[in-house]
Amino acid sequence: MNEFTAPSSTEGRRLFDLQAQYIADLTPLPNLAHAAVVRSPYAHARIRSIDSRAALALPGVMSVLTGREVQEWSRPFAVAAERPGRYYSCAIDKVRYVGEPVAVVVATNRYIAEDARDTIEVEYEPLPAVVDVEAAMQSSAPILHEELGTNVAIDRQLTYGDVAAVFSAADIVFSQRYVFPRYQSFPLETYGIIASWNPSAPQVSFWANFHGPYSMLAVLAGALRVPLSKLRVVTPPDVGGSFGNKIALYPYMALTALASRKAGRPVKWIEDRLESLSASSTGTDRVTELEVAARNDGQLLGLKMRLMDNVGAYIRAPEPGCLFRPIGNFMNAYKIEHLEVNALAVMTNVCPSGPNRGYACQQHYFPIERAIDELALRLGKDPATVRLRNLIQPQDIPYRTVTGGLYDSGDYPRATQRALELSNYWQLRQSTGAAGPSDASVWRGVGMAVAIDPSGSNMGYIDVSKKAAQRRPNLVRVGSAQTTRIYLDATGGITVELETAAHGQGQETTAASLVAQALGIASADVTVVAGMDTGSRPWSVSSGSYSSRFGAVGASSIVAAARQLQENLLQATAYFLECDASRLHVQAGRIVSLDDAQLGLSLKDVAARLHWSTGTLPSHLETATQVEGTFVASELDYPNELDQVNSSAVYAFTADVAVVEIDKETLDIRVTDYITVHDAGNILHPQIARGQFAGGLLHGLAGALYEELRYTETGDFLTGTLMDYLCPTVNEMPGNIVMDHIVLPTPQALTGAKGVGESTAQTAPIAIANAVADAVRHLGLEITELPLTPDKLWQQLGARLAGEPACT
Amino acid sequence: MQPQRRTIVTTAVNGTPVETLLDVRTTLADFLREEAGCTSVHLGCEHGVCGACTVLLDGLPVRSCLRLAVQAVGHEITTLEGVMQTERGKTIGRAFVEQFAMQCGFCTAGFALSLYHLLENAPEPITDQDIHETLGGHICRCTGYVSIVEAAKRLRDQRG
Repeated sequence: MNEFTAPSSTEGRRLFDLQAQYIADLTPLPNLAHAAVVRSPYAHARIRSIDSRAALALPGVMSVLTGREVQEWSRPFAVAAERPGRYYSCAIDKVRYVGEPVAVVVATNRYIAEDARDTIEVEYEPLPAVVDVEAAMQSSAPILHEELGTNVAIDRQLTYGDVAAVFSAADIVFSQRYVFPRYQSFPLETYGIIASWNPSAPQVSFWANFHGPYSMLAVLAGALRVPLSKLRVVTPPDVGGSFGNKIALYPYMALTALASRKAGRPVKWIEDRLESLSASSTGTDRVTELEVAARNDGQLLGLKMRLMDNVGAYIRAPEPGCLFRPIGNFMNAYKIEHLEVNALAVMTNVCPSGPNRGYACQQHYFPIERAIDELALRLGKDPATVRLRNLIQPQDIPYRTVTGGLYDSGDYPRATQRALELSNYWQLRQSTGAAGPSDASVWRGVGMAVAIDPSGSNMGYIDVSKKAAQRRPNLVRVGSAQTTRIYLDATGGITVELETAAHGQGQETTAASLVAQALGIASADVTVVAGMDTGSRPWSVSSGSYSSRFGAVGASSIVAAARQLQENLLQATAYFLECDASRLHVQAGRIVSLDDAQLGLSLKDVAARLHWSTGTLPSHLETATQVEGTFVASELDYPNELDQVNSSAVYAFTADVAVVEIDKETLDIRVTDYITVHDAGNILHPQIARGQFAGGLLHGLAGALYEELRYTETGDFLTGTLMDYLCPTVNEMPGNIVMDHIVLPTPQALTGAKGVGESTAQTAPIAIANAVADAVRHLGLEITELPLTPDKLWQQLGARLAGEPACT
Repeated sequence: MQPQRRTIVTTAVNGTPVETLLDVRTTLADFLREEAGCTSVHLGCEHGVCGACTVLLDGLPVRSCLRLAVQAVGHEITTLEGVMQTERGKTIGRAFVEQFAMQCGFCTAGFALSLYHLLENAPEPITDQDIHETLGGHICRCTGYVSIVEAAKRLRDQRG
C-alpha cells in the first residue's frame, strides 16, 4: 500500500480485512436473548390495560416487561429543566408520542420476539394531541404532563448589554419569524444494545454503540438506581456513525437493562429504521421571533430573540442544550453587544429531541443569517458587505463575547473573503434572480453564511437553564477533560488506548499519527486500541466524542501522553548512558545525544532495558513504560450571575457560499456549487478533515432541501421509511464542491486544532436558504422556513399569482 | 399464528456450499449474517433503500434484506468476504482505504460490491454518469460521497 504523507485509514483497513466489529456482530455473552419493543400507535393516550398472555404463551418467549416494572425498578431520568415531565424508559400510564415504548418482549430470537410483540393487546384511551410548538404554549392546549399544568418546561429570560437603548437609537428595526424544521442526521447503523443485569451484584453490563458524553451514564445509573461504579459500558471498535443521534441511546440502555432484569438473561436489542426515525432522537425544531436593530450604514446594534424549541414529549438530557449549548457564541462572528433572549423549551406529542450534528447552531444562526440578508436588502447593500462590516476583526481576538464566550483565534474577514473569491461571488451576484438571462430555464441564486463553530463543550453551560439564584453552589459543573494511556512494550512497540468512543471520525488513524510524530517513528508501528470500556479505561463525565471535541480536547490528551512518554524515554536513556537528559532528543525512533550523534539508544533498546531490568531501576523510571496524558481545557467557567459562560473550549469558523438553480417550470432546486472555507486551526489529518467538511455539507444540504420528520396535526407520524424521509444520494450533492481552509492555530489546545466535525452542517442549510431567497426574491417569495421544496415554493407562488397573501 | 415452517436451504456462499435448516421466513441478510458468517452484510434500513446489505446473487447486486434465504437456493452468493479473495476486491479495498472513502464504514461493503459489479461487467468506457448511477443506489451518511466518487474514478482509471 502506498504511504501517503498522511497515513491511510486504519479503520478502513480493518473493514476490508473483514475484521470490523459493530454492535450487531457481537455475542459477548452466552445465552443472549433478543428483544422487540411494543410501541404506541397514538400520539397521546391513556393506557388502560396491557394483555401479554398470548405473547407469553408463544414457544420461545421468555418475558414481557411493561411500565409497571419500569416504574417500580427505575426512576425518571434527571434533566436540567425547571418543569420536566417524568421521563422513564417506557410509558407508565400514558403514551405521549407515536413510537413511545410501551412494553418489551424478550424471546430466543428476534423473529419470535416480533411475533409476540404483535400479539400484545394494549387498550388505549386516545387523548387530544398537540404537535405545534406555539399551539402547545396556548392555555387551551392539551397538557402532556398534567402535574405540571403547562407544556413549557423552561422559560428563561437572558439579557446582555443595553438592548432598549440600542433599539431606540437604531435607524432601522425590523422583525421576522423563522421556522427551523425537525430532522435527524441519522446514522446508517441504528441503536444497538446488549444488556446484562446481574441480580446478585447488582451490576449492569452493557455493550452498546454509545459514544458519550459519559455524563449520560450518570443519568442512566441514577435512573436504574445503581451506583455508577456498578455500570460497565463497552463500546465496540466500530460504530456506524451517530451525528449526535446516539447520545440519546441511554433511555434504551435503561429499557434493555430492565428487560434483562425481567428475563433473567442477557438481552440484545437492535433497533430498526422505523424505530430510529420515529422514536430514537431528532434535532430540535424551533420557531424564532427575531428583532434586529441596525444603523443605516449596515452596522448591527442589537438583537431580540424569542426561541421556542419543540423538545418533544419529554425534555431529556442533554436538552435543553439546543437552547443553551451555543450561548458563548450566540452572536455568531459579529461584534454585537446587546442581546435579549427569551428561551423556551416546550413539550409536544412528538419524539423527544436531542443533539443533531451542529447542535443548536443551525437553529440559532438560521434566523440571524437570514435576517442579515434581509437587512442588506432593506438598506440596498450586498449581504456580503453587511457581514464583512460586522465581523469581529482579527485584532480584537482573543475576543470575549457579551455572552461569555472566548473566541481564541481566527481571522474571520480573511476566511470570508477567501470564500467570496473562490466562489466568484461578486461576479455571480450580477446575474442572479431577475438579472439572469430571460431565456434560461432556471433562476440562479447565490447565498452565503458564516458561523462560529464551537468545539469541546463546557458542560457548565447547561446550568444557564436555571436562574443564578437557583444554581447549586455546591456543584459547580465546569470543564472538558480527556485522558489517554500509552504503553511501551518490551520490544519497543507502542500501544495507544483510545478513550474517546470514536464512531467514524478516523481517530485511530489520527492517534497513531500523533504518537508516531512525537516519537519519530512510522504510524504503522503504533497500535491503537479502539472502542471503549468503562470497566478498564480511564474516563470522566465529559469523556466521549461529541461537540467536535476530539481535535482540541481528545487529541490533546494523546499529545500530552506522547510527550510524557517522550520525556520518560529521555530520562531512561540518560540513566542508562549516564548522561544529561537535557542533552538528549528523540529522532527517528532513537534517543540520541545532541552533542554526539553516535551516542544513543534505539527505542527498542530502551524499552527492553526498562522491562527486563525493573529490579534495578531508580524509582522515577519504575513506571516509565506506562503513561497517562490528561488534557483539561482551560478558560472554561461556570455561568456567572450575568448568565455569561464560556461554553466551548475552542471556537472554529466557517464561511460558505452556495449557488443554486431553480427550474422555472418545476421549481426544482439544485445546488450547483458549494464553497466552504474553514478556520479549524491545525489540521491533524487533511483527508479526514476534508471528509468531515463534505459530510457536514451532506447533512446541511439534507436539512435545507430534503429531510424532515413530519407529523399530522394530530401527531400521526408520516416519515417512517426512507421512501418518505429523503436522504440525499450522490446525485443530490452539488456538482462543484470546493473545500479550503486557512490555518490559525488555537492556543487553547496542545494540538492547535479546533473542531471540524459539525462546521458545514451548521452553515449549509443557511447558505442554501439565502441562495434560494436570492433566486426567487424577484417573484416576491419569502424564505423563512426550511426545508425548501418545490411544493412549498409553488404554494407561495400560487398564492401570490392568485393575489392572496403568501402562507408559507 | 401459523406454525413455523422450516426447510433446508442449500446454497453457495463465496464459493463454499452451505446447507442449513432455516425458518422459511429467514431473510437472506439474516441467513448470511447469522448462519454463513458474513458480518460484512449490514442492515441499515431493512426495506431496500439504503443499499448497505447489497450482495451479489449469481454476480448481480441485490438487496439481501428484501429477499428470503430460500430464494437463494441453487444460486451463488458473493459478499465482501468473497470479493476480498479476488484481485479486483483487493484493488477496491486499497482505493477506499487510501482515498478515505469511508468513515464509519457501515455502508462501505454495499458500495464496494456495486462498484465491483460495475468494474467487472460494464463495457468500456465507464463514464462519470455510470459511476453516479451505480453509487446513487446507496446511502452514505458520513462522507458526503466526495471521497467515494474519487475512489470510484480512480478504480475506473486503473481498470484493466
